[in-house]
Amino acid sequence: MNFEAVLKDMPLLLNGVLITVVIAVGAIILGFLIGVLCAVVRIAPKTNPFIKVLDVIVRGYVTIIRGTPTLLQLLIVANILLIGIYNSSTNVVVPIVAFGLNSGAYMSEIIRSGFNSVPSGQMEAGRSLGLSWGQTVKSIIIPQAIKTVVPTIFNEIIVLFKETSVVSYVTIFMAGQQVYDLLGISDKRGMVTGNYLAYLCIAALIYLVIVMLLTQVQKFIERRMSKSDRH
Amino acid sequence: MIDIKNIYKYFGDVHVLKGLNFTIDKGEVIVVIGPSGCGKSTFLRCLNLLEEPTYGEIWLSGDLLTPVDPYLHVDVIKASKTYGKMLKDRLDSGEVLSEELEAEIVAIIKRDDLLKKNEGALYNRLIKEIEAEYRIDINLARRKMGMVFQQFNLFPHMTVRKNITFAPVKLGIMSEEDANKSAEELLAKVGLLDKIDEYPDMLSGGQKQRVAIVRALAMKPEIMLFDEPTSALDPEMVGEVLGVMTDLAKEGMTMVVVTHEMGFAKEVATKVVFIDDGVVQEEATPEEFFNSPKHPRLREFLSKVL
Repeated sequence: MNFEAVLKDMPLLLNGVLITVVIAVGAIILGFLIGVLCAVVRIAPKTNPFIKVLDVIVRGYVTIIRGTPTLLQLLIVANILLIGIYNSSTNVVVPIVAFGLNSGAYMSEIIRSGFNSVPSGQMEAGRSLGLSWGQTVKSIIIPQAIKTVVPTIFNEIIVLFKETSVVSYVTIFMAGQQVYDLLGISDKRGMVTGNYLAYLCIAALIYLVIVMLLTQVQKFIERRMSKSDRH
Repeated sequence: MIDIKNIYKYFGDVHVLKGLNFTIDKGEVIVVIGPSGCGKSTFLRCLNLLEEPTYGEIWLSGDLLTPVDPYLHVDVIKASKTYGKMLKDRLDSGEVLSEELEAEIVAIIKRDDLLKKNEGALYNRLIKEIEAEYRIDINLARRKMGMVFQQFNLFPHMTVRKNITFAPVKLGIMSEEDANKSAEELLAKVGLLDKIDEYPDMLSGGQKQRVAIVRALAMKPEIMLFDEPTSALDPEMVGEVLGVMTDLAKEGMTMVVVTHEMGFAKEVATKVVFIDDGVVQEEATPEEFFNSPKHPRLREFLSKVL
């Protein structure tokens, strides 16, 4: 194992890190937005037919995503958003959409459980002051729900972040458009230089450091949000 | 000020309110008592539509809060297909058109709940006309009706100040500055000005409930609804909350209070109401209510709680 050679290759690896981070951040933002929207649909009073239809769609979406392998979803999205439409060699749209859709389903269930953990009296208090359902959800329910689900959301974020490491293997068939994320580029350079294990170890180290950073962010957010708790 | 017309509330097969009628005038302090499960909380929560009555109407100062209840409008019933058919059958069988006959058919329709979903264009138009003229948005109506809950229901993620100012500012009733000033004045009145920047979690139960009262008052409501405001409090904190409520009553606030505090009922109420089995069984001044209760169920209830 020659770590020095790997360090000389750092610019390439860092570019891989950048791609991994872009995919993960894009997918997390997309997933979170989808998750919040779906969770709101799920808890909305089913008074009008439009909401009822949306609710059925959301349930179907969550069932399908949770019931099929992530890798398979990634392949399907890659085939739909096809190959040839984008010409950049760092085409990250496919993985962002695929992982975003995937994560959205899980996030929606997490956030829904957060909504359900907020006592019903909170909604009643908001409504009794004359706030609309939407205003109460936005300003009273969501902030409290998010607070209780921060640890679970971060768990999902970390899983998602690591799951993005499959993209280079999935995008191989996208002729000339393979996405070289951190693992992808390490794999490739390792093969080429014959220094495979060293590259993999460095890649593992970088993943580990980023996840540890994420954990720190989680702790920071939890501390910020707990300022309304008894101290 | 508030007219409660023949409200029914069904939770599935459980019939909680069964045709309850009541009128609340401006400045009255109504104390509602009754055995647990009698529907007194449901009654209160129907007033601002936290529970939507299954039948019946609620009117606030001439505005209709609920959908139109066709059974309360004879002209609407008479516009229905069901009525038309029944009248025609009776006339065909040789009866003569008369006011008595019409009244009888209306009574039968009311008694047997015969109106269906589709009762024809005229019927629908009449209902729409009434709603267009009288019905107001429930969110607007709720601004005029403050509510205080047994479990306080303060917003735990907001400071006391934000709890109080959030709704008036968000709804554009007050500027942030005015809302802050009003919050400070109201908090000073209930002796909690020093807690203005605390979070609810730092307050005792009695303090929380006083903040909850202030939060409702900040909307400058015309009427205040109290749903067992002292039932979740430690005994030594009940007094401070009742004190605030008594002051409020003295200032002339219209209040409806569901409570088990008989002392409060005796001293502060202008009228005490006994609800049992889903209807108002007795309403009287506190003196009459406690000294010479008429309804046997009320006598039994009072003998248990006094």
